[in-house]
Amino acid sequence: MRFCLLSFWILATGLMPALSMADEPVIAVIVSAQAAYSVPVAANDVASVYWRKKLYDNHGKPLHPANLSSDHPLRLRFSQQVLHSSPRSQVGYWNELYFHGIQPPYTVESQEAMIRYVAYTESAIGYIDACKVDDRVRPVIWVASNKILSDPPNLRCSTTSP
Amino acid sequence: MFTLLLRCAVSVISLCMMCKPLLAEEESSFWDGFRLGGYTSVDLNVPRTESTRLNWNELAMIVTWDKNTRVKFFGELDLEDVASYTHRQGLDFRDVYINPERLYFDVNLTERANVRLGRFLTPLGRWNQLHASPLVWTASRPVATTELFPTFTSGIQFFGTVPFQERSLDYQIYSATMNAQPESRGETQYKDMRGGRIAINNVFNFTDENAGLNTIGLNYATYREEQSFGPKYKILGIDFLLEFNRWELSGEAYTRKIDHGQGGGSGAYLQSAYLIKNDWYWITRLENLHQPNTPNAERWIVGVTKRLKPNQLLKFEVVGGNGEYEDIPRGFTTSFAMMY
Repeated sequence: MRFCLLSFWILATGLMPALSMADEPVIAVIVSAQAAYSVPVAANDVASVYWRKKLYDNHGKPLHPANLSSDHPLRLRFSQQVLHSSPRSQVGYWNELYFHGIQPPYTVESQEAMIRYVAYTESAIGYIDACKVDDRVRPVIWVASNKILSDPPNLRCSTTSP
Repeated sequence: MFTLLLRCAVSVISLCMMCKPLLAEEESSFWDGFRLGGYTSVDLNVPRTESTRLNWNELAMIVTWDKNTRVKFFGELDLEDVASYTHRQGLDFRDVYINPERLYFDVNLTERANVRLGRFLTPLGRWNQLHASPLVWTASRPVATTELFPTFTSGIQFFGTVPFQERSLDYQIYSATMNAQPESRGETQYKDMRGGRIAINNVFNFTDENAGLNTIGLNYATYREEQSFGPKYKILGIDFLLEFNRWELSGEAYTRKIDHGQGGGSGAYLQSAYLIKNDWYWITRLENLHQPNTPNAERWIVGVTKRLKPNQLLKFEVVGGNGEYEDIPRGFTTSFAMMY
């Protein structure tokens, strides 16, 4: 009986999070596929760009990060894994930046809107489900299981996913 | 000298405006770069030793200009002590004055370095740089953040952010180039302000879904009193912010030395904000201030604050302790603050 309970406990505490991680989509940080609109982004700069601490790229071009709406599941994950906080807890921070004349990232409502914004805005940066990347945008960084990766991970994309 | 700076800034803006007809096709884009905002707050003070007073503290106007170039402009013009009302004196507008709080240009140098020229909030600690009523949990301000160092500096500042691993380092290095303050309201005047601040963000690298901001800052500055043969001070400070689950803890501590090694005073505060429910926060703060030739002051503050909207705060607080400071009278205060 104890063995069964112990096995159940190990499964519940160890395996279940792993299973749920497997269900979480890999997030791709994207820039425009057009060279004129594209911008270089380093993995360790993503957080600074989204906190609006880094406002320019290395050529002096202003960066234009975009967020999904604050209740979007992908925004919640991106926020937690890259910015280490929830969008809700960032309200005070964005007020502070507004006080210093800095606007928060532009907000779009859907992943398709994100692709369009990034594809046709100079120096724009966004993020979407890595499986939704198309030829309008170029993935440069991937966020998976609390890691920010410069190389693409193995993606298991369903061909039927919307 | 400050008036000179103000005139320079106004001249630059005026020149930009005069250039407008010459660049007819870019007229709309020039104006698109401007943004207007601000904030305001109203307090009802019921002090222990004075009569009840309703204060309209400030009406602040923030103007920014950003046309996606390496240069940006920021200006904040405040109408301070706009109006007050007491039962005995009625409505009173006599204390109102205009305060050009901040006025500067930011120039991007590299992706890690920027320079700020003009009048800015002295980068000492967190509170001084974020002191606007809609940004802070209490109506009253910790005395250590007002009494120990000049709150504004007119000069030059280099600043930027350097990422490392999952963290980042913010730096600010500054030096006063103009010493005159625009208007003294009985405050000690200082000059020759120089200093630096570094802050490490995401110190604990929390990944929990209830994680929040966590940062620690170190501050150092030197300055002297403006009066002839005024003492030169060195101040060392530490500040922190920690958000986790429903808690937000913050604090700052400063120690100040006079040039010859004598103690020049010290002060600190420790504040907690606990999310009770429905955007109601329970606020507690302990603070102290020691200054030479002045009685020590200790303060405690308990209160509740409601975030009505992301840009609006409603505060209720009771202040106790010893020592009298005009800015933080002991007693009850309720306040409404809004950013727009």
